[in-house]
Amino acid sequence: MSSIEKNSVLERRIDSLLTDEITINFGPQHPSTHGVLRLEAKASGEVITAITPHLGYLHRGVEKNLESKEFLQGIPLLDRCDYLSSMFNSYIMAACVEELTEIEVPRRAEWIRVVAMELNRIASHLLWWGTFCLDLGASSPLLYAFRDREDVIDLLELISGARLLYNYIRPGGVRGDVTPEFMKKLEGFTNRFPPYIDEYEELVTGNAIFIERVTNVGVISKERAVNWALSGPMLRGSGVNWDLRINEPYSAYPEFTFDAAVEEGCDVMARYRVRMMEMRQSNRMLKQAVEGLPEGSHTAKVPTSVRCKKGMTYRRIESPRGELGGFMITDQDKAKKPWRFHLRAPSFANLAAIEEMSKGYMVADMIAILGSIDIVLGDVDR
Amino acid sequence: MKALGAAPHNGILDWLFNWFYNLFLNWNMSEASAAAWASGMNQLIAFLIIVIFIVVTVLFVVLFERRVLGFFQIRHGPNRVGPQGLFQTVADALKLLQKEDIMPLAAEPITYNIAPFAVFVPSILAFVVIPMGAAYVGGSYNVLIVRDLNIGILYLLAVSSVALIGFLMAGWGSNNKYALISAFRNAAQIISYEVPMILAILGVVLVAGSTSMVDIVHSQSVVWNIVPQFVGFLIYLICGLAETNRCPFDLPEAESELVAGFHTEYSGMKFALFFLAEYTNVFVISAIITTLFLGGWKGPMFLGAGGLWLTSIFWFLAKTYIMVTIFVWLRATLPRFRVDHLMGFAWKFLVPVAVVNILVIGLGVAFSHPLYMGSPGNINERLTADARVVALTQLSSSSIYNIMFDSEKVEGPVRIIEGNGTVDFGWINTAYGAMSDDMKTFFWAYNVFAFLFLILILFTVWKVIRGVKRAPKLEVMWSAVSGGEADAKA
Amino acid sequence: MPYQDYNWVALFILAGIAFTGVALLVAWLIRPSRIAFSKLTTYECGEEPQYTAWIRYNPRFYVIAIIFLVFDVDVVFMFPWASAYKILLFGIPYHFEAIGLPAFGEMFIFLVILLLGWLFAWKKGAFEWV
Repeated sequence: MSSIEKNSVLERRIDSLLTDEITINFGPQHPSTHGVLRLEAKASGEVITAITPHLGYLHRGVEKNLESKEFLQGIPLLDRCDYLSSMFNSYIMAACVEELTEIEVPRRAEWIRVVAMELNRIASHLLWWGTFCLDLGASSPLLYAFRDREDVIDLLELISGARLLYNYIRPGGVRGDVTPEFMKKLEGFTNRFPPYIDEYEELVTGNAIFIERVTNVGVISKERAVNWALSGPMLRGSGVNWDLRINEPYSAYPEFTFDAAVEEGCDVMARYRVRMMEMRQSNRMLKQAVEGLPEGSHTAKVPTSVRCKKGMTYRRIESPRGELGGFMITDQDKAKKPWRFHLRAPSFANLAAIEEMSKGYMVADMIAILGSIDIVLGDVDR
Repeated sequence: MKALGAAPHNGILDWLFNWFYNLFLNWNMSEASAAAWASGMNQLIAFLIIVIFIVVTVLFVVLFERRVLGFFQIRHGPNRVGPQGLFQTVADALKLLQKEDIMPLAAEPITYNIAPFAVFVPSILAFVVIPMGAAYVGGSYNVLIVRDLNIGILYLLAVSSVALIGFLMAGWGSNNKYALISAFRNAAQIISYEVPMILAILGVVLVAGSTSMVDIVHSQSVVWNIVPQFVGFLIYLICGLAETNRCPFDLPEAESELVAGFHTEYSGMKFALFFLAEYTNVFVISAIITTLFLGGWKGPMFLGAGGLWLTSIFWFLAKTYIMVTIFVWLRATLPRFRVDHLMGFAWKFLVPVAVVNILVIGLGVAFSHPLYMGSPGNINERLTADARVVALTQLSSSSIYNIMFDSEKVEGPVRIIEGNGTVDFGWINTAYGAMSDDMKTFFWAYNVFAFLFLILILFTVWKVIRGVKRAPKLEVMWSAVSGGEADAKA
Repeated sequence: MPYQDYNWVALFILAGIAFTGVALLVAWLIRPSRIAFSKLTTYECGEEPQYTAWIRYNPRFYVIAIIFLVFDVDVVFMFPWASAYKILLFGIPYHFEAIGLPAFGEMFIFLVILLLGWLFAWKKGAFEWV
C-alpha cells in the first residue's frame, strides 16, 4: 500500500469516527515548559494540529529599565534575562559600551572572558541536558547533570563570587583577576569533564528508546530554519554551518582552536548532538586557556561612571541558545545611560518555530521539541 | 528422634534452620494433634500474616523505591524519619490524611469518588493467590497462601483488569483534559500489553499443567522457569512494567506531558489511595514474576529447597525485592516510550514472539525435553512408577483435572491429597531421595547452571542498561562531519 | 470446596473496601475544609479551563481494541489446552489414553491461523497509531 493510499484510508477512518479536537493548555504552570510559557495546543487525539505560544508571564521590562540605569548598573539587570547564561548577557552590554567608548580591552581580560563564557556554556548545556532527558521521562540524567554542573558553578564562584548571576564581565575587562588556585582547579576540571560526557553518552545517547523518541522528530529543514531566523544549536542542527565565534569572531575567540558543531539531521537528535559536541569543544577551549593564558591586566582603565559617545551599535555573540544581540543607542555625547537598549533574544526567535516543528507530531513529541529548543523564559520575555 | 518440623536437609541453610527449630520450637506434641493444630491454626496464621504483610509491604515498597532510586541517582533519598527513613511513608500517609479534599465543580461526583475504590481494591485482591512460603508442619507440606484457587493465574489476570475501569473512571470523572488523555493512554496500554502477557503465562501453564499458583511453583522444583522460558520471562517483565505504568511505560503518568495523569484532580487521601495502589501493584507484579518464573518460595537447591517457613519466606521476599529493584533500576535508567511506539512494540513485536515462545515450549514438552518437563527425568524415567507420581501429583488440584475426571475413582500410583490449601508435597523429598546418583549429579549441575545463568542475566541487563551503543561513536560522527581532519577529543 | 475458596476472595474485596472506606472516613473527620471558588476549578496549568474535557475524544485505538478482543477470546481457548497439555500428551494410567503429538499439532494449526490473521491486520494498518 502506498503511503498516499494509506493516508486516505486513515483519513476516512478518522472522519467516520467524528471526533472533536481537544484544546489543551500547556503552561504557564506545567512541569515541562521550563518556566511560565503557555502553549495552547489543539490536538486530535494525541496528534497536534495547532500550537500557539502565549508569552509575557515573565515580562519584567528589562529593556525599559535599562534606560534609567547606568551602564554598570545595567549589567546585573541583564544577567537576570537569560539567567542560565548570564556571562553572555553581561558580555553584550560590555561589548556595546566598549564600542561606543573605544576602550581597548587587554588580551588577558578577553581570554578570561572566554574562559568564563565557555564555562557558563557548559553549565547551561548541562542543565539543558538534564531537563531535556527529564522531559523524555528519564529522571536520573538531571541528577547527574547537576552533579557535574556543580563543578562548573564552583569554578565560576571562585572568579565571580556568585553561582548563578555573576555580574563578572564589565566594560573594559572583567571584575577580578583569576587566581592561580582557579587555574589549578580549572585544569582539574578540564581533565575530569570528558569522562563525564562519555558517561552521559553511554547513559542516554545510545539508548534505543531515546533514539526512537528523538530521531525524525521536530524536523525543520535548512531553508526553513534560516527563514525562521533560528540560531545557535537549532540552526546548526539543521546543517547550517553558522557559528558567530567563527564566522564573526569577537573577543579572544580567533586565538582559540575549535570547531563548530554541525549536524545534518534537522531533528531533535541533531540538536542534541550539537549541544553534546559543543560541550566537548568548550572543554577543548578551556584546556587551551589553561595552557596559554596571557599575562597582563585583567581590565583596562575604566572610569567608575562610564561615559559613551553619541551613536548606536549592534553587537552579537554566540550564546548557548543562539545569536544573542544587543542593540544600543545613546542620544548624546558622554551619555551615562543608554537611550535605548534592545536585546535580540535567541530563545524568543527559536521558540517562534515551535508550531511549524511540532505540527502533526504527538503531544509527547511536542514536549521533546520544546525541550530541544532550550528556551529560558527570562530570555523570551525579558 | 525425628523432629516434628524437620525436613530431610538438602543444604546448609535448611540444616541450620532445622537445628534452631529443634532447639526452640519442637515441643512434645503427638503427631495427630500436631496435624490438627497445624491445619486449623496455619490457615488463620497465614491469613493474619498476609493481611499484616500487605499493609507493611505497601508502606515499605514506597520507601524502598525511593531509597534505591536515590542510590541510583547519587543522592540519599528519605533518611530522616526514623532509622534510615523507615517511617517516611507512614509520615507521608499521615500528612495526606490531613489534607483538604478538593473535588472540582466540573467533575462527575459518583465516578470521581468510586474511582479510588476501583483502583485500590483489585490491587489488594491479587494477594489471595500468591504463595509466599511453605513448610513441613505435622508431616505435611503446607503452603502459606490465602487460598490456592485452582484458576489462580486466570484470577490474577481478571482482577488486574478491573483496575483499568477505575483508571478510566478517574480520568473521565475529573473532567480534566490531562486526566482524560492519561486514562485513554492507560486503557490502550493495558489492553495491548495484556495479550503478550497472557501468552507468556501460557508457557508457564504448559509446563506446570495447571493454573494453580502452588502447582506452578511446584513444577519448578528442579529448574526455575526463568531458565527454559527466558523469553517468556522477559515478555512478562515488559508487560508487567506496562500494566503497572512503570517507567519506561509510565505514559499515563508522564508528568512532563500530562502533569499528573489521571490523578491530576485528586488530593488528600484519594490521591494516597492511587499512590498506594500503584506500589501495591509493583509488589504484586514482582511477586507474580517470582512465582511464575523464579521458583516462588523455593531457594536454590544447593542452599536448601526451603523446608521451613523462615527459609521459604526469605527466598520469596528476596526474589520479589530483587524484581522490585530491577523495576526501580529500569526507572532510573530509561526514558519514556511514545504512545505509538508503545503500541507498535506490543503488537508488532511482543505478540508474535510470545506466540512462537508458546510453540517452542509446547514442542519442548511434547518431546519431553527435561528443561520443559517441570520434573526431573527423561522419557524413560518418567514412565517408571515413581517418576509418574511426581508428574501427576502436580495435576492433582488443577481445575481441568477435576472437571475432566472424578478424583474419587483415581487409583494406582496417583495420589491426591487436598485440604484447605494444605497439599502433601512430600513427594519432592521422596523423589530426591529416590533419585539415582546420576540424577543427583544432574540436579546439582542444573542448579549450578541456573545460578550462573542468573549471573549472566544480570550481567546482560547491566550491559543493556549501560547502553547498547547503536549510536555511532562521537569520534566517528565528528570525523564524518568535518571530513576526518579535526580532532574531536578535547 | 472450590466454591468455598471464593468466600475468601469476597472477604478480601470487603477488606479492601473497608480499608479504603475507613481511610477516607478518617480523612473526612480530621481534614480541614476551606472551600474557595478558585480551588474548585479544573486544573489547567493555571489558566481558565478552555471548554470541557467531555468531548468526543479520538482515542485512536478502536481497531486495536477489537483485535485485542479477538486475541483475548483465542486465549480463552488456549488456557484449557495448556492446562491439559501434559495429560493429552502422556495420558493418565487407567483413566485417560494419551493422544500424543496431535495435542501439539492442533494448537499449532490454531496459532498459525491466529498469526495469519495478525499478519492480515498488520498489513491493513490496524496497528498503526494513525
